[in-house]
Amino acid sequence: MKKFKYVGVGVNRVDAIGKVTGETKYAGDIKLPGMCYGKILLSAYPRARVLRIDTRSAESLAGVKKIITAKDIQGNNLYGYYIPHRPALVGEGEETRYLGDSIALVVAETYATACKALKLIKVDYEILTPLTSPQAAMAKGAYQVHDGVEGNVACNYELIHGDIKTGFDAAEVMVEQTYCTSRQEQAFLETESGVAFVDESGILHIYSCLQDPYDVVEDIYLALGIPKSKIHVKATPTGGAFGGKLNTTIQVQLAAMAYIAQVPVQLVLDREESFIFHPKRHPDEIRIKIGAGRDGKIHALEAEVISDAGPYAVRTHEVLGLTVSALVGPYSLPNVHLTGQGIYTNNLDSSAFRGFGAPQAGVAREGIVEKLARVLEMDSLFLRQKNFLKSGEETISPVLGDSPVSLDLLKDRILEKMGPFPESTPDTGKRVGRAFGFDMPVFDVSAIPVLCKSGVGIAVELFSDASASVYAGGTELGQGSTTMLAQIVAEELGLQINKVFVEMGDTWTCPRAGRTSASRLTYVLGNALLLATEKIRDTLIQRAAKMLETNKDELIFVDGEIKAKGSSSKGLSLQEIAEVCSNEGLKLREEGWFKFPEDRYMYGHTFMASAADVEVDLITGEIKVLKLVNVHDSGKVINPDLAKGQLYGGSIQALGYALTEDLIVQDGKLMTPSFAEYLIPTAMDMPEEFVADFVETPYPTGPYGAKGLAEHSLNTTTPAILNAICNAVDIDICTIPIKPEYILENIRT
Amino acid sequence: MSRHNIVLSVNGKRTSLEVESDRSLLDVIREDLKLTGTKRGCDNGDCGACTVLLNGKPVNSCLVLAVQADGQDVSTIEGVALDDELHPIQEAFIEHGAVQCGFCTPAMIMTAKVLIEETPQPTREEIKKAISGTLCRCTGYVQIIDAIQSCGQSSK
Amino acid sequence: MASFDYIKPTSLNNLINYVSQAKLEGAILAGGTDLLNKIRSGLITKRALFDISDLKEISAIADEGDNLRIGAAVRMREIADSNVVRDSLPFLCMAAGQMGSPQIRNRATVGGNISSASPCADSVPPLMAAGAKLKLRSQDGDREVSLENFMKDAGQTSIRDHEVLTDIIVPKLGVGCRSHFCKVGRRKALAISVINLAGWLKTDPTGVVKDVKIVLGSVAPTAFRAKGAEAVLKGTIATRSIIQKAAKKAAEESSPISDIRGSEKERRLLVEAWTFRLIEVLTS
Repeated sequence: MKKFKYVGVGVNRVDAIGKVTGETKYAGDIKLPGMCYGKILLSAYPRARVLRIDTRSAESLAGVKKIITAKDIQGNNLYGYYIPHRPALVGEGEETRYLGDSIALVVAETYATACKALKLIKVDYEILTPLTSPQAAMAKGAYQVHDGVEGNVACNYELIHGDIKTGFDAAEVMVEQTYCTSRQEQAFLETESGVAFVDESGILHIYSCLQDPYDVVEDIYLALGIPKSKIHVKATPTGGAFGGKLNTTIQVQLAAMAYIAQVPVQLVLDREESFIFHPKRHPDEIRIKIGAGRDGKIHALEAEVISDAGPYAVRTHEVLGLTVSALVGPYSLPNVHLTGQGIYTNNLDSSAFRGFGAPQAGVAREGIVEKLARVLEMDSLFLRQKNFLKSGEETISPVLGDSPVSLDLLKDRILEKMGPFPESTPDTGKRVGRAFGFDMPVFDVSAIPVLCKSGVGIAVELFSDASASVYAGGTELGQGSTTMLAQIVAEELGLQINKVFVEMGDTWTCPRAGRTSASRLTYVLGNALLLATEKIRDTLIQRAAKMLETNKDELIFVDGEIKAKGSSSKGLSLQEIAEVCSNEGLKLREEGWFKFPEDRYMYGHTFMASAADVEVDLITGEIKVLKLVNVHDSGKVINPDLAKGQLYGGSIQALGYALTEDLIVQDGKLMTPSFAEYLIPTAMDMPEEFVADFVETPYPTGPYGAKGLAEHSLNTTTPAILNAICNAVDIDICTIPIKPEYILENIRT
Repeated sequence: MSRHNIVLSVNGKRTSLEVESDRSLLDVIREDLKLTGTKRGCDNGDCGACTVLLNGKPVNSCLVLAVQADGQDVSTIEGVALDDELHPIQEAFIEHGAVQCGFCTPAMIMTAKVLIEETPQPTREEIKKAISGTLCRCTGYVQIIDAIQSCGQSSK
Repeated sequence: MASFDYIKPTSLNNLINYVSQAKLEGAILAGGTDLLNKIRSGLITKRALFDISDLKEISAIADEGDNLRIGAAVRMREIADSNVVRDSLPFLCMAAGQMGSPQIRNRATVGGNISSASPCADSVPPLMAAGAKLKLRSQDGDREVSLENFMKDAGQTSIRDHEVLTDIIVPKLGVGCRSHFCKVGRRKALAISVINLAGWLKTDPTGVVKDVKIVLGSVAPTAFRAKGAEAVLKGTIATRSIIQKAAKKAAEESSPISDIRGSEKERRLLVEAWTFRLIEVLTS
């Protein structure tokens, strides 16, 4: 077993020092000479026709540089991933589709002036009736949120396997439930922020927190008509994203401000604006039904998903596709019929959020399996295991099924970590429940999701002083990809890790790498990096072979030196060879292009298990998570400390999803506009015992055997908590988040 | 009076400023003093990202008027490192993987520093309570608590 | 131009002087954790703020034998950390230590918490259960009013124009009294109370409840004494069924609203559940 110096080791984050000293500059911390401040006037109504925009008072306020409306936009004024149908600015005579549509932009010398100017813009609206639910949007006669889209159906899916009628006919027991999941807000601590300016050559520079710099270039080009060669986007260190910054957020409006006002501009959304502006986790209604034999073998799975896609459904087709296929999960099901519809509404927008549709499916899938176990009076872990996908079996959902199935291994490990069921002392008025959840979470193995035909690039340069720079188009959101890349380069080139500098997310310096999402960076960038470093190693070894007068096949890298295998004499230091190569003009800067060999698949998958022990107070309905465990098989773990951090962080988001988080929208209006109403877990809401662990089944095509892992901890952690509550007090939970009052109401009856 | 001359100590340094009555301490720290390590997460006192020490006690600087800091001691993250060396708490945060996106990190460190000074060997429960006023969305808090607890043990 | 003037009175008399000048359109700035939010969101407009930080006359906790005198400007953290409060009014100590967050407790004052007249204010139930009296001063002199009578409606107290809340006089709970406070929020910190409740109780040597006070917060326009529930308990040995009866009575006495945090029905369920729990703790 090869021993690595950096890979597989919990090395310190390479960007940690700036973060612990406060020196790291986030987009809102940047100050440029002559910088002005921007504010967006958001729509006052979820759906209204803009009759008139009167900017005269605002324009005449001292210190205002420019007020921008749709008529000032030179380009198409439309942008958007997949379908460019979102207006940068809604103009007179046009209709708004949600509260986050932009009506006007203010650029002023101070932030206070910009806020004042915002209040001086007078807009006459004709208030129209918004579609506030998928049901209302699908009803006959409902207005079309986008012209020509019948029934407001943004997309639909069907997954068929086997024959569902045969399956239900063979079943001896049926269970059915409808689950409603909430609108979950990413709640990153850093709100959408950016700085933009146009330089003397007419090049627009955008520094902003984001997950896909290339897509931002695309959207600015589409909306504003600026040539792509004149747009430079650089991702700033991002204060959390979780999918909420995946699609272009404020960058188009920010670009318009800088480009049209011709001054450097900083735009930072306040918390309420942030809650309104970026898209959330899709709220879903999932009706799910399974038919099984009395022996526990599931014969049939049927489900319908109705998903609130919001006004622009930016990634609904991808998210919904994953929700539908994740309803199968890690189980071997002979007959399956699943459908899903994403429906346009005038609620807040919906798109990516960690888990990307699988958490909703997890609630329904693991919920109905648990219910089946109760109906059959069977241990639910035994029931799950009975239906696990077996090694060698084909997966039903369209994922690359080339991972050895490690579900049994995970089951053993999670049982070990959970330990014996807590002893309950009678008459304490408290009940404890335990539940397990399993899934086969996906991660991206390819580049651009549509058609999977492009490659992912990365560039590495080795300098003559044995330091190196890496240029990677992904972005650092806090997940630690900068560190992962530094580890790999240091390992492959035998460098000290503190001699590796990683630049991320700059469209000028970093080759196209696609989005930072779908837990993909380790796999795609790691693989691309191995290709690049291999070329550099070749160059070094070839030159070293000449210097040492041996065959290059005899040489190995070891501890910063290149020497002959089995030789005890001193080799050449990396610095020596790098210097020679550099002086001779040999190529020490290489790009690696990784393209997944098969075109069909976008997703590979991992395996995971969650378990929870939850105590419910019968008098007060209070819910206490005693123990929460996550065990993942994500192949080789490149950095155990960072990897654990992903499991802990995602699990707490899952706990919030189960118990406290609900971004409430009524009649298209946001009822929970601040952190006082939208409640994410604090340190005092943690489980008493909290465990994260890994089983490492090497993945042959992954760098060092690694797969993606950052998103997955949400997928089954929420249902494990919910099902543990159900098991503690014998109730059904079909709507999340769950409140103690719900428990009290249902225990009584 | 709507403009005030104030004199305060910022990270041990005597600092004179002219501020308007309605500006928050957070505004003045970030914009006038250009100390951007203290972050704005909500401006309502709901998230703790703006935590600084006012006379040695953690407060939400978004809810303190700058003028109220006249004659007081203010400590921010920029004053934590000792000359060229990181403070043991900063080292601990790095060692224990307690930093992800880093946005809550300055607030967590300011709070942790005070906790360790007041309670040299805090229990995990005491740590949780001390940091309960600062939201973290990335870490799930575990490694932050590990880091702070390790400082307590090593100050034996 | 700043949206308000800032003034730091040098003494209590100085403060009263300012407050009495109506044309100043001023308000007292205590901890600022509630007021500044209201001003920024436009709910309140004030032309001047009078900062009472460091006003020595109202910043102390004084032990006056049978009573504690707590200055209006005393911070919640000081109350939570105070030995004399912990010993003589344990449930007030509990409430002060659970309110908001550590950062908020370092600034928020008990006077501010009372004056905000939020139905959810955490210091009010224990103070009311203990029979707290408020001292108010103006240029016309001093006046004393019970906390119960001071709380008029959600967001409204009976403070007069030009009056300043200076002290809270709280009778100490006697020997043999047990007290408890429950804060029920959706999470364990940084939480607005969905309901909050405080109670104290004293039994005779045979276990019969001699005296009991229960105050419920957040489930009516102001916190209130659940006198019906108290009456069920008084003079009895609190068996499980009596506690249940008292809890049911408390739910009937409350008048919660329905909002995004919960429906009226749900809140009554919580009142009943938590009153039961409160009394359970007080009689265990």
